Amino acid sequence: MSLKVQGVGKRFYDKGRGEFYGCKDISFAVEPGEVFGLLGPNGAGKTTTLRVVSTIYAPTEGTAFINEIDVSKDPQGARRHLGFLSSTSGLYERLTAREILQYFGRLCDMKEELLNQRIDMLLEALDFKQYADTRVAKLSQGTRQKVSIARSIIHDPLLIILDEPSTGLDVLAASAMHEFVRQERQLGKCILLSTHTMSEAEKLCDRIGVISEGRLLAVGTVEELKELTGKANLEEAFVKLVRKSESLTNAQ
Amino acid sequence: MLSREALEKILLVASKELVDMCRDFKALIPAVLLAFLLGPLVSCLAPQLIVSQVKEAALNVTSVAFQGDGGALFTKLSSNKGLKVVNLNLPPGDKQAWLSALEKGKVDVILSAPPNFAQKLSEYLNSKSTKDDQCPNVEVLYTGRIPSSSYAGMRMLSVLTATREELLKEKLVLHKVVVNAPPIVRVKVLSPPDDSQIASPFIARTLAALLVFVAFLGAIYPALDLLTGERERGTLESIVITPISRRRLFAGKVLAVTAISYLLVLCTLLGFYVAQFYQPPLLQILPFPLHARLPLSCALISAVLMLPLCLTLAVTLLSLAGLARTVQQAQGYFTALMFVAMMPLGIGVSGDIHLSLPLAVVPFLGCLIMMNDILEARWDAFLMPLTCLISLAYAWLLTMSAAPTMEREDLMFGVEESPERRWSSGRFGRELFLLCSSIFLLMFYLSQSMVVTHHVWGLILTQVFVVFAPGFFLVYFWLKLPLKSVFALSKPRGGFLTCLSALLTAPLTFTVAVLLASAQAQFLPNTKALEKIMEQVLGLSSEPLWLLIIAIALAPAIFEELLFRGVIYSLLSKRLPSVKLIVAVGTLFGLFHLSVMRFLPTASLGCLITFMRLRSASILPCMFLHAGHNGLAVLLTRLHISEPSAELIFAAALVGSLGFLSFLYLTKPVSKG
Repeated sequence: MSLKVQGVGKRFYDKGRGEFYGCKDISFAVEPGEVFGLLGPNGAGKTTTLRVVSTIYAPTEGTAFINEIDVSKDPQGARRHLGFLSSTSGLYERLTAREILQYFGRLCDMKEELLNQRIDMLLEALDFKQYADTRVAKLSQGTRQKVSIARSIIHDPLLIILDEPSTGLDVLAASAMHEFVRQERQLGKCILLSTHTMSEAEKLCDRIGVISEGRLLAVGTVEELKELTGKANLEEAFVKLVRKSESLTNAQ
Repeated sequence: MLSREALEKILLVASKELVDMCRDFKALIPAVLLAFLLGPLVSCLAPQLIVSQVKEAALNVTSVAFQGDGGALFTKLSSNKGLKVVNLNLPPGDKQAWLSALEKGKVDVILSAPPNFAQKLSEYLNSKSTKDDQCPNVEVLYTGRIPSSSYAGMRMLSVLTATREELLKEKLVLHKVVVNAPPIVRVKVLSPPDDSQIASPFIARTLAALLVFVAFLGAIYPALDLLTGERERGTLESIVITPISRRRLFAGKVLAVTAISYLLVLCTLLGFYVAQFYQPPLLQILPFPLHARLPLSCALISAVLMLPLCLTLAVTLLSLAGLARTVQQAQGYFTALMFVAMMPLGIGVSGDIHLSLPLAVVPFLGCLIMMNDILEARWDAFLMPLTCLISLAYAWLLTMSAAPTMEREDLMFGVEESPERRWSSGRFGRELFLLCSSIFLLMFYLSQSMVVTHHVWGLILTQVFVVFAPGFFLVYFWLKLPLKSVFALSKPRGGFLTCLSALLTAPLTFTVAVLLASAQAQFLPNTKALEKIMEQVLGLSSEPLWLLIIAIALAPAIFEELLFRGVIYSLLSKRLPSVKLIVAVGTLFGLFHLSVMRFLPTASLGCLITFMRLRSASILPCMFLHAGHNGLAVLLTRLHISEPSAELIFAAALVGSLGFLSFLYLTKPVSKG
């Protein structure tokens, strides 16, 4: 399973601003067993890019291929292979965590036996087994985030897309989530995640794409980005890239 | 047919939604309780209250004061046990003081005798005259501000009538006047109808409306929660990236909403069924209809037949909820729907209309009338299954068209596409569906009542508010499309002579329409009766000609053309090739006239006018032809030419053909070479 994003652009319209790009000319590829991180400030276009890849937005320009399946031509086919954790998605408050996982597993055509095994495995891996039969309304923010993660990957997708996965997690829960991402990488999954936390990007990502104002500014490993900008760490490299982009935009 | 896999998925979604909804105890329990208690409230408590009020009014002693000298009348009234005469000790001439006593509640009612009343009454009673106008009058004074005075006033009127009759009887006896009474007619009832299997009139009149009300209430909250609520909470986002088809997902939600709405309907029916056994016996023997009889067979059949109605409501509400971004917005849509639904509800529960073929094919209204008919023990083995099938077809169609709205980016995330981009892509299928269905609904419910109440002015109002306004609202406020391109009011190809040639084509189109109408009269029922009714309703023979020209020729030519050759043409033109576009717009134009008999002539005319729009790149020639066509109809009706002569038809066809040929010549495409 691989992901190829080719020249993806998404235009929006606003009465005050007129037509503008949410993301523009975004191209990158993620190979099996690789964690690719989209690193950018708030409003940079990370979520827009992830939504296009996960078939929620129809791209205005370009497209993405999930294992040769064109997401704009066959979104239904693409959905079978991807799991998407959105930063804005919610959970059914009146259902228990187990019921939610069962529901989503069944929607993804999973066999009952396999589904139950997968639920048990995820409850263990993300460490919320004790809350499996508690209604979501009574869960803490961190546990809810774990349920959301489990829900998005219940069908064992080959492409996992995580939009700011550690939001709302405490240190222990974030660490469990990071460990889980590493395990999935070892299983050969293709992982695309967005974050604005440098340490998370550094810890988890094999390659990073720095995104700002809807454009992909640079793609490479942490070392490559440092080398490109001549900075000593990722944070400084990131700041330099973003500032440079902003000054170019202002000059235009 | 549904595959097993599809059915499993629909049931999966429906069962999850039901579990989710059923756990919302705070909303569900009051709804179920209210539905169940509605029967006892309507059948027992409300009638009991009415009866007790009537009883109280009947048993209360009314305090009355006599102003002036009432002679024999006041003496007679003083002996009435229901009246208590109060002496106010006020001067008889001081009217203000008497009224003030009444306002202060010192007395319920005042009987005021004018000067010389006693003398005139005595003269009348002692004379042999039986003429009413010679009998003097008293005034009954009471105030509507005090309930007891209001009751007393009404009661006093009946007491006075009775007393007057007594006095008259005494007078007749005194003067030995014999009144020949008409012979008494004896009626022998040979076979009293067995009405034990029919709902009582009270139930027949109220139950259908209440069940629809409950079904509506029962569907509102789940529809809001399962679609717009999910959209607001972000759960819909996680569902739309699963591989389940949108239609199955939507159908599952429809099933869940139907189930909740139906549950409340069943509770209401159960409440009514149980309540009839606890209705006080007094209510069952009263002359006015308060008896709440609901036989088991009637309740069971009603329960079965409410299912299509619940389905219709559920799918309609979910489709509307699917178009809203927030719950608040959806509530606004539902309020508007409630206003629209008032019309069929009024028609359906009036009790005077029964199921017929044209009504059976109208979703919701058909179900409503069917329910009323069932409660009145009217059966139709053909129309009732047809109504149910129509409801299913309506639900299926709406599911198919509304399901994709669930994943609309603008509704899910509030993002928009620029109007220019939208315009160039021409993706307006859903909007067109909504526009056409709203116009058809408005035409069916609103326009007909406007025409019946406002006659010719109703036609003009229809053109402005039903035909033009929705389309204009859609393109200007909602889609924000360029009005200049949509309405194409520009100079036509070939200049303004093209408009003249289009106008000259009208005799031809009118002749063809007449010939088509007479040809189809061989197969379809005669339209003469219908035309006569329309003529009477519109007052074609009495209204001034200028008004008829405006209402029937000019207004439709402007507003219908702006809708069909403007809005609808533009929404379809980017997606359909020329021939399909002409047929599609023409067919919609034919359907819009809501008449099987008029479909063929109007659809043919619609196709021709669409062709003109396409060829001339302007809407103006379309307006001229439309105005000419309708204007001819008005003139011929006014001149009472119902069957034109062969010479006239030939002349019209000749002039029209020349007009059409000149139109073709003037709009001839310019060769690029």
